[in-house]
Amino acid sequence: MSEEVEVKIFEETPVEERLEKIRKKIMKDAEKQASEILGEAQGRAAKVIEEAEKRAERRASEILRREAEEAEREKRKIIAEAKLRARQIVTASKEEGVRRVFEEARKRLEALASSKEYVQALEKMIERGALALGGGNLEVVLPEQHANIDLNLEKIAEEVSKRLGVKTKLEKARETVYATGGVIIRKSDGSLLIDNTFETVLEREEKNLRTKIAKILFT
Amino acid sequence: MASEALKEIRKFEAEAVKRILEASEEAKRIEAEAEERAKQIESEKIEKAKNEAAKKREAARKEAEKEAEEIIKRAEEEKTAIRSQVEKKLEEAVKVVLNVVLSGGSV
Repeated sequence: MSEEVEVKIFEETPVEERLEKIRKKIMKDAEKQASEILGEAQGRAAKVIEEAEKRAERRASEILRREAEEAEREKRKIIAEAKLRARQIVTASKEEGVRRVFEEARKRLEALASSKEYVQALEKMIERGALALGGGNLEVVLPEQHANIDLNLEKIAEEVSKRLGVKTKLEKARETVYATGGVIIRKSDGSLLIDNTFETVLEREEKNLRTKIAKILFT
Repeated sequence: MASEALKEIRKFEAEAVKRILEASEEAKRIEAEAEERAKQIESEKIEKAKNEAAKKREAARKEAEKEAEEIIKRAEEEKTAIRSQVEKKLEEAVKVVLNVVLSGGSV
């Protein structure tokens, strides 16, 4: 149908009908526009939700990753602390063992120092000391409680002289030393001295003894 | 007559504008709802992730504590073994110390 024909028909149509047609056209256009507005709004809404979901996923992943790292750090810390504590337990029990050996040895030395057998042990210590000093005129310094022990110093001096080929003389010094047992042997002129009191020997040899004790006890 | 018709048309147009405005209001409501829903989605997912992470962390901690207990238990067992060994070897070690002291040193 041509435009001219359409116009003619429209002009011949009653006014009410014409108005109804206009109303329908206006409302149809409005409906279309409304529909577009709503469609666009729904599209934007869907996008907002989609983006929120993506953002939430990223943040959730980040939380899980960070917490997993933190959990791993915490786990490593707990285990490291336990390992340290375990080492301390083992080390302390070994140290206790070594200390026990020293304590027992001190007790026995104390017991020995007040026994009958001590004289013989002391004489041997004096002889070793005299040999180490190379003989000559020597003095022995004893603990106060042993100052009156009857020692055969002449015999020891004779033995030392014989073994070294150096005339040796041994005398008790006037002064005494504070010790559980043992002896200090020195040149009468004071030039050389060997301190073999129990306490000094234990102190001097402690490091080496610890190694040796540990080897005996723990291998 | 034309004037009456024009009035009618203006009325139709007003009706159309009203419809479009209604749609715009509805559109705003839809978008506002979407914003709210988006916030809710984010909040829920993050809360869920936090809960899941806390559970995993707690499980890891318990596992580590169990392992730590085992480590300490083994150390305590070793301590008992050391004490027993010390008892067995005490005499030998004490003799070494006595010999060193009585001989004036030099291990």
